[in-house]
Amino acid sequence: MNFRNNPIMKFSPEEPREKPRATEEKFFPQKERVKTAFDSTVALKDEKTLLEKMRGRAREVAKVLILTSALIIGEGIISTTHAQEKPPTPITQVDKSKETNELGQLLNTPEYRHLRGLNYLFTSPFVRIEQETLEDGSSGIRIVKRGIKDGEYDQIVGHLSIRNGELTANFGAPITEAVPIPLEEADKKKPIIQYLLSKHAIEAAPIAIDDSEIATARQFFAIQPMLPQQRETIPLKDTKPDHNVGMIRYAVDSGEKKIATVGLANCVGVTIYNPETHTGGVAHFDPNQEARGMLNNMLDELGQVDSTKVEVRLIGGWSGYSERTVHYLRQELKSRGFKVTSEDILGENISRSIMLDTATGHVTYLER
Amino acid sequence: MNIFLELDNLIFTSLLPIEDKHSFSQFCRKLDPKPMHVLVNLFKEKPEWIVKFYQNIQAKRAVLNKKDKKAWDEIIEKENFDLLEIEINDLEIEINDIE
Repeated sequence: MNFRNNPIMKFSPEEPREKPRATEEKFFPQKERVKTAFDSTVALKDEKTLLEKMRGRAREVAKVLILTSALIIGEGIISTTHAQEKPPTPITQVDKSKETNELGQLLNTPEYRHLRGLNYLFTSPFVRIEQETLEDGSSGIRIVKRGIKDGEYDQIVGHLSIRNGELTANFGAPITEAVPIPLEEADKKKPIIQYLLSKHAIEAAPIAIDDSEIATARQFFAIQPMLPQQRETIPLKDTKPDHNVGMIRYAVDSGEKKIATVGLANCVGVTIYNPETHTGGVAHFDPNQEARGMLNNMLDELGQVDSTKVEVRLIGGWSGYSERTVHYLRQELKSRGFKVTSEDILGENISRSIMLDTATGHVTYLER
Repeated sequence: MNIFLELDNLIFTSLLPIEDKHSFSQFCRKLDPKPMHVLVNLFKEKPEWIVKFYQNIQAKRAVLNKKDKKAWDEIIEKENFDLLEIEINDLEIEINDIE
């Protein structure tokens, strides 16, 4: 190695470095220079140094990490450059230019509207077609085959894009292959399905599951939202729960304890309360994970209880997504002799946060 | 299956909240598809990396916005630790295979 040309070896420890010139100090005070010393170049250089240290697969992952940093830096530049500009109009809302377009009309009339521009254009017991507005104002469509068994994943089977009001395959490429999806005769009469069939974006496939599964899927698809007239809410920032239950977690406690779970969105929460012992539990179920196992663990942790005296609440979930979890939770509770005392389930454009007070059994909603 | 479909399926069955799943999926679709198979294999093998990777993106977004060098160094240190863990893990597998 040629140390002479190595910038690190340029000065020996004894040799003092050149002091900054007076003019430099005047115009770039030390504090300011430290602040501006970190920019995108430094960030990428650090990532590159890290990459050079790695071998094998770690090196490949490090390459992806550099790409993500570069992309984030790009996002920052774009957002700074366009800070004064008007944000793009989501195609799903009031984009007048697209209202006359058949696809635009279909996008403006989804079955369900959820958070942050996520809409469900079509739902059946077997399929869900999701549409989301992307940061650049264009739209992405996901074709999802819904899981039926408890804990069976919803599977994304196709992607489509909408560019300039026209339906395309992923990233604006022409559609070359239809995605086979299980459709019933009635589904084929729905305008969005007719449209996608006419564009050869999808094709009807038989429902290739056994009759008992079909019956189960129909059963959970029939579950309707149960929404209370009013929810008692308090600001989230004013709460100090003893337990904050995360996704696919639960907590059981007794006495004067507060158990909360935040941001249920499409997840379903269960609260259980035994007024005789002031013992309660809160669980947070993800629709793509098995529900019954965790529910049974929580019930077991409550100990010996008179199931007819226990208060059970089901809270959370999205219409078009979470019906299956509600179905299996109801079924399991019933099989163990518990009666659901109240429900606030499904609905659109909602993410519930709740807190159970084990002193009273009271459930309060937390507002962000 | 195309690589982004595969990646999306992994992201959407992860333990990220639904809004983060959408945000992560949108982010990944902007990346070059070529090295994505590395990510897909990693996520398949170690699903906890999906959450880890998304948290890394969110942390970088926050830090690069604030230009906070100290916080950035902490991110790099954590990346270094996580990558070394992969490297050591892969080496162990290699050694086991030889034995």
